[in-house]
This record gives sequence, C-alpha cells and structure tokens, in this order.
Amino acid sequence: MQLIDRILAGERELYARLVDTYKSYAYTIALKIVENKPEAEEAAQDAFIKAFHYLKGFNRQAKFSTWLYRIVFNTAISYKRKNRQQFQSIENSIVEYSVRADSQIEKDDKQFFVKKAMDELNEADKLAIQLYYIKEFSLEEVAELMGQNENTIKVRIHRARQRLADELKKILKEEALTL
Amino acid sequence: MERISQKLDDQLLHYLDGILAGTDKSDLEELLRKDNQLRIRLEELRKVNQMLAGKARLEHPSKVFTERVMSNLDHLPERSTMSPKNGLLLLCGIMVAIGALTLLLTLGVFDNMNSAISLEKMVVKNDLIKNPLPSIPFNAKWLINGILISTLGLAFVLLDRTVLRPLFEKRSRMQL
Repeated sequence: MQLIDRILAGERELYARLVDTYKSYAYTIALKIVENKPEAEEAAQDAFIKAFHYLKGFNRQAKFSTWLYRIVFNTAISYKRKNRQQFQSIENSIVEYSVRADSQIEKDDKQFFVKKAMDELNEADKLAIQLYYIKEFSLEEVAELMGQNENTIKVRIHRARQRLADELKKILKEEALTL
Repeated sequence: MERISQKLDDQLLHYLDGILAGTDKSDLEELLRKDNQLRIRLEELRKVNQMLAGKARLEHPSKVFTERVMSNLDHLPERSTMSPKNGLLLLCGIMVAIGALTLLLTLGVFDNMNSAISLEKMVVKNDLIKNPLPSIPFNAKWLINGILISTLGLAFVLLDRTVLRPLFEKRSRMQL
C-alpha cells in the first residue's frame, strides 16, 4: 500500500516494481483467455497501463492483485472479441517435424488430447479450470477475477472435470477406431 | 454398460480432492471394491486431474515487458466506445429532438409548406436548352419525415453501441 501511495505521490518509476511482481500472473490470465502469446503480451501490457491510470480509484480495502487481475481479465476479453477475426494464431498451427524421444511423443500426445478435450468445454469452464490448477491462483482469486462467486466457480470446475473425463474417453475411443 | 449416477460421479471427485470423509468415504471405498465400472471412472478422473496439474503453470512474458509498460505509461489505451453516461445523454437529446419534430408534424406545422423549385426561373445562359425546364416539387413534410427516420436510425445505433452492447458484453462476461 505504501508503494501505491508513493506512486500516486509522483514516484511513477516505482510502478515498475508492481509490474515486475505481477507480470507473470497478468500474462498467464491473458494467455488463457486470448490463447495467443503476442496478443496476450499486448493485452497484459495494456492492462498494466490502464491500472496505472485508474490507480487513484483503487479501493484500499481490496487486494491489489485481485483488482489488477480483473482489469487484465476485462482487457483480455476485449482483445479476444476485437481480434477474433483478424488475429489468427499461426503459432498454434506450426507443426514441428523433428526427432523426439518416445517419452516426449507420449507427453505431446497427452497434451494434444487434453487440448482437444478442453476445446469442447465452454469458455468460462475452460478458463476456470485452467486457472484453478495453477497453484499460484486461489479459488477466491479465480472467482473474483471472473466476477462470479466461489461456489459457482467450484461447480464449474467440478463439472468441467467430469466433462473432460468424458471427452477424453470419447476422443481416445475415436483415435483407437481410426488406427 | 450401466451409467454412473451424477451423485456418485461427484463423490468420486470429492474423494480425489480429499474432501470426502467419514461414512461417505468408507461407503464409497466399499462400492469401489465391488464395482469395476466405478474403479474405471475413478481412474479416468484421476488422469484428468494429473493431466491438468501437469499442464498448469505460470507463464512468463518477454524480458522487455516491464520496460514496454513503463515507456507507454502515458498512452492510455483508447476506449473503443463512448462512455455509457455520455451515450445516454446524447440518446436523450436525440429522443427530445425526435419528440419535438413528431409533435410539430402532428400539429400540422409543415402541412402548408409546399412549394416547387422552378428551374425555369433560374437564369441559365445556355442556348442548347430549348425545352422548358421542369419544376421540382418540394414538400417540407417529406423532408422532416426523412430527417426523423435517419435520426431514429442514429438513435438505434447509439443505443446499441452505448447501452445494449456493453450490457450484453457484461452479461457474457458474467457467463464467462
């Protein structure tokens, strides 16, 4: 809080400390929403700039991180809507042809199937479950940044896991049939 | 193949999360010993847990992230839409104008404002024009009706941009 007071008093270079502390969290949230690295970076940067300008209005009773994450969440959602058509990720479509160890292939396959199953979830469930499993985010934070109560998020995560299990089973069955 | 009930499925997840206790836990363990289908489902859910946990990690932005933020601190990203407050004020103004025009129309203020723009009266020095020039009828009521329709269109666009769209965006964010 003292740091925020000093920034507001004019020591704006101190804001870099706040950015350094929270940049990975902000970037992770943005990345989970926009699903594109350059776009996530831009969205997270915009969110920090917005936060700096709105810092005066920050309610000191609240947690700075939660307030910031909410700005990141809203900014990333706007980015996703705005750039949905124009900013197609080529990053995700790059296929690497290289010699990989068996364990790496197995790991990649697992990730591929999880991603495929995840795509079957609705956006909210997908985001909730992804953030919930990152140990750095608490359930309370996930709920607050998504603007929903904890119970709703709990139910979302619970149902999403069941749906994922069903989807994975379905995908693996289909894969086995095509072999 | 018998479908596992939602309640049992929920209990399996609670069991995996370690929040199932007492008789609920022992009852489920008893069921798991007897029911192969339930054991398979528990394994499926356990795998989902492991996969999600393995995939979940904090991502890191580029090294120049902080530097870029600090150098752009004065450039507040532009808002794409007008603020709802300003939009509503403008919308109110437009509605008042529409109301006033409609009132004047119903009172018949523009009924007698009919005339014709006669091109014949215009002084055109052109010998090629042999035929008499036509006169264009002008009706103030039509003009006002046209203005009213375009203003209504404008009001609708404004309503969409400043009230409806932000409202639906907020609602979809709530669902998201």
